[in-house]
Amino acid sequence: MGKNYAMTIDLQSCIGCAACSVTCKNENNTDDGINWMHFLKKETGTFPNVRYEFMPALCNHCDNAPCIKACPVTAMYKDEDGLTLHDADKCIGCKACMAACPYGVISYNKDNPHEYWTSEEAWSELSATPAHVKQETGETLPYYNPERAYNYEAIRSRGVVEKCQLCDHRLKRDEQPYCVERCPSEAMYVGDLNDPDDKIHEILKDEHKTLKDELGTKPKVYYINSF
Amino acid sequence: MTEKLSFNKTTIAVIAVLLVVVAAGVFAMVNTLIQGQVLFGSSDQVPWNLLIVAYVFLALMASGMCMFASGAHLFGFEKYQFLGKRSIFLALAVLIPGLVVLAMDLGRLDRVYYFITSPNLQAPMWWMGATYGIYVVLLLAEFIAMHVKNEKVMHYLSYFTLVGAVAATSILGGIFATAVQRPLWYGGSTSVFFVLSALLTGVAALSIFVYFTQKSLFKQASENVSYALSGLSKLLGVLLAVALGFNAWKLITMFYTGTPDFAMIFNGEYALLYWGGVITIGLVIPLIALIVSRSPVTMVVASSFALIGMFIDKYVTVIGGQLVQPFGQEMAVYSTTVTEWLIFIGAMAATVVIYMLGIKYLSLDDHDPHQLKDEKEDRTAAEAL
Ligand code: SF4
Ligand code: SF4
Repeated sequence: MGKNYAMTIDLQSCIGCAACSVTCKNENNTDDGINWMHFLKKETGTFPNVRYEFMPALCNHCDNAPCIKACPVTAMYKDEDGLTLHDADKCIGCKACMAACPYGVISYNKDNPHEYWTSEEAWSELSATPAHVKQETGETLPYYNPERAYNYEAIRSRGVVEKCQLCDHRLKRDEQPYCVERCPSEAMYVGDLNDPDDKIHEILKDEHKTLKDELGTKPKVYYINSF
Repeated sequence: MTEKLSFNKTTIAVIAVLLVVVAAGVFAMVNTLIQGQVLFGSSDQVPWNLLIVAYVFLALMASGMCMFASGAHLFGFEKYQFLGKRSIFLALAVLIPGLVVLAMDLGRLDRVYYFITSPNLQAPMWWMGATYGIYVVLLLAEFIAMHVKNEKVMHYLSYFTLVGAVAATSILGGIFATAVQRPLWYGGSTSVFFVLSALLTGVAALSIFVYFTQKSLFKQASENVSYALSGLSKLLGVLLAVALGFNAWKLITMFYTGTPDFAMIFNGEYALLYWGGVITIGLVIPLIALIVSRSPVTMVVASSFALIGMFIDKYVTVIGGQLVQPFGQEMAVYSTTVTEWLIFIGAMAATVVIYMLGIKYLSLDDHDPHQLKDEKEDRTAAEAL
């Protein structure tokens, strides 16, 4: 039996620093405005009775994923380890997956990726231009991570969508996704639901919920200990 | 009759203007291919833009015309059959530019072959592509059969095009009907409404084309055209009434769930478009007009209103359906761009140009309306013998 990866996010451990969101951008070479791992913020009430909620949010790798059903060319697919993956080489950019995903976590590359780094305009006379920095590093992106190229376009082309792959390239070598590893409060974990000895079962003993599970999507990002 | 079909100066001027509009559309398309979809107003929150609205509108119009033509033929409404060839040609003239509009919204047009090499049979989008693909071919075949006057082939093809039109339309609806989280889209009734809406749009568009063709080519409406228009107006009236019923039930069911989508069309951001555009302009005014009078002129005015209404209906459905964001986040905004409009208007102008060329070179009036009565008398006489 293959694996069935799922993620847990302990909301009482999370301090709302958004490090997950930032590190994800580094690991996966995402462009400005495209965030695979992001967060939902909600401020309610009036002072002094206010409430602030912060929730990391990403693709739920739904077991019954509407995006996979909607994609006409099977560019969205389930891999053998239960991840919902996107094939950037096959995607025709029809955006059916975006219309179908109830969580709004798929982004579309409207423009050529990382256009910023082609700019000849420097911040000030003292700094180098983005284009110069790029030229010096010899990469499309100065902080380019070649590891992402393991099984996905390391930088996606204009005209295709992209979304969280749950760092499948890291999971393959038994490492946790980069957001999980870089979370300063160790709020997150990715484990195998099919392995009875996996720590995830221990974590899931706590009170937990998934998002919009009433839609039947069977999401696999579990939010633990919500306030 | 053929000598009547030379274009007068006004018609030629109209064609010239239309060609300019088509050229502007082509320019916008080339620009899009070069610069990408940064030229569109769509975003990650509202992934589908005016082009999808336009495609749905045009595809439904084409299917509607074909449903009417094939239906009239198969169910034996002889008095409308002289419209058959014209309707099928119009369906092609509308659908082909429509498909081009759709193609422009694909981010990687160069990869469309994956539709064939890597199909996903669960995806309504795939079925939509497949059915419309086959359907265009069937329509072309039917048109050719009509053109070479092969009645038998045409008769059999009518079955396929009728089924094809209904299937393609409802599958197009299915793309929206299956999005469980979007109250303006979700549910089987969306697909059924798409079929109804196709017929309504098709009949309205057909009436306008028939009226103006008749007027510009033959100066005055012939008896048969008047008869057909009056028949079409009755059909349009019924369709408008049913569409009102559909809208009423949509509102009632949404009222019970009280979603933000309901508030948006009931008294929110899209209320003016919905109540003013879809309901008043698109359904109520034309319905009242047709109840009061069914003269050809009223029919054309009512049809124009209905067409505008149906377009706004698609806008409210496609765009409005995407505005409400998950998890109570702020509602998204979308505004159209000049490029989107140029592509859409260019496509519509292309339709009219193709149609006019069809009138000139493909004798769309093979079944001369003036002759229909004589033919019928001949037939009755033959039957009597
Ligand atoms: S969260 Fe959205 S993108 Fe991720 S698997 Fe579910 S439907 Fe697909
Ligand atoms: S945009 Fe790409 S991944 Fe999404 S449905 Fe279309 S082809 Fe599939």
